[in-house]
Amino acid sequence: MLDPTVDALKRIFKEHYFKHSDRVEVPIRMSEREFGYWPFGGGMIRHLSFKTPGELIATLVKEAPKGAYYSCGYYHEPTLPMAEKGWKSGDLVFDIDADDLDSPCKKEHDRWTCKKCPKMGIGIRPEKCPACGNTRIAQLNWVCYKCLDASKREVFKLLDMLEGDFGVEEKCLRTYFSGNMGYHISVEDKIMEDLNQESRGEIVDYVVGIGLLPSIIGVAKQSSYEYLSSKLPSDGEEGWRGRIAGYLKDYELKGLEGSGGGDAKAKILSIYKKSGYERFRKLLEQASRAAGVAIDPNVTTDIHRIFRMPGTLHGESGLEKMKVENLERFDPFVDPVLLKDEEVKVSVKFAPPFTLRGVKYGPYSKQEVVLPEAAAVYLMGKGLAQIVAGSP
Amino acid sequence: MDIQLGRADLAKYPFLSQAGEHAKAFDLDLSDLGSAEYAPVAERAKERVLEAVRKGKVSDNLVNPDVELLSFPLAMVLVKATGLEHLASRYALSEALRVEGLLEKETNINVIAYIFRNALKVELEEASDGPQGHGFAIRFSEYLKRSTQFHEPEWKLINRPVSKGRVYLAKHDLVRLIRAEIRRMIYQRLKSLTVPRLPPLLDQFVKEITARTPPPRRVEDVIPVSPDMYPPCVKHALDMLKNGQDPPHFARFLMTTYLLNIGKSVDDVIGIFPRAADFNERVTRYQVEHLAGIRGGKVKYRVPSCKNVVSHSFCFRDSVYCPNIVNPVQYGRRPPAVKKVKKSNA
Ligand code: SF4
Ligand SMILES: [Zn+2]
Ligand SMILES: [Zn+2]
Repeated sequence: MLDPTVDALKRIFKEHYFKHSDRVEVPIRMSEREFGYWPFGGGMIRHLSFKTPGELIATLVKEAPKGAYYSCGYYHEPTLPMAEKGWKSGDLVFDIDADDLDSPCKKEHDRWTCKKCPKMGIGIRPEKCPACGNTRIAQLNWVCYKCLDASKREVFKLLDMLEGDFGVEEKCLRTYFSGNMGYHISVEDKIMEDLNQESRGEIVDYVVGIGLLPSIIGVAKQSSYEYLSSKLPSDGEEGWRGRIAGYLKDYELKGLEGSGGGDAKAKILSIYKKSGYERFRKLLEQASRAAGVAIDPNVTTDIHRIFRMPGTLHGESGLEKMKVENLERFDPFVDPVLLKDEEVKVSVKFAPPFTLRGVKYGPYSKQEVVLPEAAAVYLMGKGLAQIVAGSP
Repeated sequence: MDIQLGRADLAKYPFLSQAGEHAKAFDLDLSDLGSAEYAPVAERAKERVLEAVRKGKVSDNLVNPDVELLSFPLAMVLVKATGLEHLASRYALSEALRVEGLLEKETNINVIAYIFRNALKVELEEASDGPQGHGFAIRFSEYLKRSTQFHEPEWKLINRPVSKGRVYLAKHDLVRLIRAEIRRMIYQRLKSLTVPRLPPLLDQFVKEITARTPPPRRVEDVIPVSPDMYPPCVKHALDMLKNGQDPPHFARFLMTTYLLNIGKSVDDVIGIFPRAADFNERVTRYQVEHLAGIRGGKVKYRVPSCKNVVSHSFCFRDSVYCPNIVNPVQYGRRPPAVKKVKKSNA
């Protein structure tokens, strides 16, 4: 291992795992799961199996990887190639990523850098570098309180749906901070476990709000307004009818300014009168996406997915994938910050401002700074900083 | 709580385990069934199979419940003895359609609940708390196991009332859910059946059935289809063209692959596109030929599946032929294609 930064990261993670091995949440039914890890400076290693928690923890301390994972799926033979593993069942999992939410703050804190010339910029990367015309451009996605708060709101919506619509008991639901950009929710419930890929796909569409027919909320092409008003949903209704009523009630229609609030049925009827079927159908699509939850659909439908292990550190941030007991009060830039305050000297390429444990850092640009280990790892893990030789 | 079904009910639903027990109580073996005394049973069994061959549906004949009841397991034996795989799936579907017709008319809710519990191992709840007209509920997991076999948007979970893990259904939906299941169940049972030596009369029946069963249709077979029998999605795309609208790219792809698949020539298909001002025949020809596999990668493109059409919001399904197909090319062909039972995820 020749890169001193990679070396430093590994040393810091190793020390952490050595001291805090009790934080690693060993999954239930571990012998039926596939494990994998991603070493610093190496490629992903998969198809592992551990028989005991001790074996697993020993590997973590020894390898101190930048990511440790296990499968949501339960297999007959977890170490065989995918096609031969024999899938038995699997936890139902959801991934809510701040990066997928398109929060307005992305434009402020995301960065791009051209891979050919020194040009860099703020926000989402352009198609082509405006300086040299190169199309290979690296994107740096950043998170802040705003977009992580938006992710939290999505988590609340998801939990509501899982409990209210799907009848999942609270004790079967686990919410985790992902360690970097969002939240993971796992459902450990016998009923969910047996769902096949197609059924999971249907749950995804339900949760995200895809495919809702206008007729479900009572709107049909040729029906009279009287008929409509008898079929439209009201605000307090359960499930998707209620969700749509809630969203449309507050919807501000162009030309109907100040029309938010009031009775949902009357509101929907006036929107419908104004827009006609086709435009209403489009609006309904928009409404269902907004009232649905912004999960990553692939994570939930991929029954062979390996998921970050709770209680381990995320290599891009040094933050822990941490079980969240009180979502309202959970602070993603305080609670999962577990690395030490010991100071390290790093040379920072660039970094948008960030906050850890209540301390503000940055912005930095081409400078050497002395940072607490946690902050230094936050930047080194993202490839934005290098350790300065001679630093402890 | 298990209810005791009457003889007439068992005759209607002979696949139930109670019906099986009832049949067993007669203590008959195959040589009995091949004898003159039981000729009506054997005749009815043969008729069941031949109805499946000819009409794709078995009729109900409830005049003599015992004959009706006993003829079902015997018909299964006859089908199996032919060794014809496509007859097995056709027969299973034909029986399922018979059951569906009966269930639509079934007024005894207990019978429906019994079938769910006994044949499908699903708890069916009579639910008074659901939305109007949705008097039943099942667990969403049980619903999904079955609904994902269907491809119409109204079967999507999001288009069902869902609360506390239950999906509310109308009686009509229950019947639809059951049909596929019953077909699969009968088909599975056929597959696992072993046929012993048959007495001469039954052997004769098997030969007769085999002779009258047409060979399986191959997917590649091109069947001429008249424009009024095009599937609704394709019709819609064609109508758009006719009305001077511009169908979305996907709709063009759907329409073109469909027409090529039913045997239209490249020229026929090109002729369908309008001679609009911006019409560029060379481009169209190139695209159509490409899809037909004449140029480029020599790949003949398949017609996109109904699921795919649905996901592009271009499905305009009807309730006649659409419910049982998974690809628009199957539209209007009888029998509706029997979907292979999915292997569990490996
Ligand atoms: S179900 Fe298939 S064939 Fe029927 S309308 Fe939809 S896409 Fe067309
Ligand atoms: Zn450049
Ligand atoms: Zn942000």
